[in-house]
Amino acid sequence: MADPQCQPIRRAYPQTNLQLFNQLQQEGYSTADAILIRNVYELATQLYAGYFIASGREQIAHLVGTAGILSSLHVSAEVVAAGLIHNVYTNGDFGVPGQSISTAKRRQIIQAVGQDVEKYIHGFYALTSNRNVWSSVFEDIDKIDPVIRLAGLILISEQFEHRLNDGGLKRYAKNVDENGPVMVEIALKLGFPLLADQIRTILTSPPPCDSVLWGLIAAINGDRSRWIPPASSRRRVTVIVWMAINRGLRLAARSKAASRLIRLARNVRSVG
Amino acid sequence: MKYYAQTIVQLMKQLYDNGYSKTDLERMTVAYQLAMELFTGLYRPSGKTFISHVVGTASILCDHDARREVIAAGLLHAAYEHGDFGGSGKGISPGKRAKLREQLGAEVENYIASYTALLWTKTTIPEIYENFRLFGAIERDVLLIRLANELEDLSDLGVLYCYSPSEKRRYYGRIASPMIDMADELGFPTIASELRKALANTVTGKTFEELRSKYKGVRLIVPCSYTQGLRHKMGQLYKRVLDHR
Repeated sequence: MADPQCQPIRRAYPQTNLQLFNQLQQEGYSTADAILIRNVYELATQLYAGYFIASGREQIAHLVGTAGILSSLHVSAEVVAAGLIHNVYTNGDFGVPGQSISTAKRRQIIQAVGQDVEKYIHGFYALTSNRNVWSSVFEDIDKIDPVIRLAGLILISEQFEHRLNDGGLKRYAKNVDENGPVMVEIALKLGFPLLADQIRTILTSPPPCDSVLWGLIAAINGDRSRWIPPASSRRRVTVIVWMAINRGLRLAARSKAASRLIRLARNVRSVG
Repeated sequence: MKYYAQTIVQLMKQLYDNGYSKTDLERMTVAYQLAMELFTGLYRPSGKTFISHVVGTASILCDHDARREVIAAGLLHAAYEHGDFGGSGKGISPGKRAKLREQLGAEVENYIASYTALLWTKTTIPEIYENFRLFGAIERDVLLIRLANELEDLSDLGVLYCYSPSEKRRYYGRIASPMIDMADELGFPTIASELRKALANTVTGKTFEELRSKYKGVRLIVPCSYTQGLRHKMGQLYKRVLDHR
């Protein structure tokens, strides 16, 4: 059943905290660096507990993988740590509904991991919110803020991590397949030829093996990311109330918009 | 050291590459879906997610061409001991057995129940070692799952990141020889040699000592938007009262 065209994993990046710690040891990171990264891992276990991505992998495995790619590039411990919670503002569970950044969330993260780590996470959020991230943001690399540069490196690393592990699913392959050449160029401009080389290799390799295998993998989690809370838990009352209020507001806004549209249509007809 | 799968994607690729059939892969996705439900939010004392550990155990079994039922049981070997079925009680119960039987079939469930029944402590291991040659086919498979579980714990130096590595080292020092002999005699020399290497690594392996866990046991982290249900909380309180007595 094995397909000789099947794309091999060129390098096994860590998928667990232990593999990451062992890699940090091999890469020569200091004890202080390792402690910072461990503390951020602990925070990630709180904010992503029970979150599974569309391939059925735990989100934490993706985060550790991203941090593993970054540490293999010998970047600072703060950047590796930021890689461990890079999408916390959009995907982390802070106990309040809504998937966006807020002052309270930022304050919480700064308090937990320090400003030196948070600035990269904020930069990552800013980049992912920018539609032109691959077309124009990195055009003149010398003019870009150093924090945004490294946030860009985190972004490329996490996209590469998804492509490497979940590449048989379109949603994860799409970004690298479409923007890979730009990512290669940016990685080179940022001074990371090893990463550029690996992305180039993955782009020129045949696509991940058998559709049967990936069909089964996609079915595990219904081809969507979702939270699976422990069976013995239940939603917090405050969250339920928040959700009800938000839903009510959304419905009210929708009905308001609908009545406006109806009024507009009537006006148009009467003018006609 | 060999590299074993730690995520479902890696495990599925491994099964596929090792020539397991489509039906085998389908059964494995069902077992993994149940593992997601039961072990979500659970962490080993080393900080590793419980799901990675069970996937790793299944991966070792797959590496030794075990039958799909054995691999599926490997994915859920700790279901009764640590799985969250929604109630407050740990351990085996008729209700839990019925749920597993319904989703995985009687054979896989039987392996898991037998695994739970096989007491594995420093006092029982010598007894198991004395008697394992008399074991039937099912008991031998269960012992294989147990050995895979031990190898998984050792293979990434996880024991060195636990609360008390010296205690763990002492424990493994005591059980190393019977474990390796059993793996050899069961016809799994690769597991025996991997165990040997992994045990040597726990003595010579370099780790950050400061990263040792502060947690002694398996812990459950509930997502921030959730809280433990009242039934569970009452059960915990009741247990604490009993412990005090």
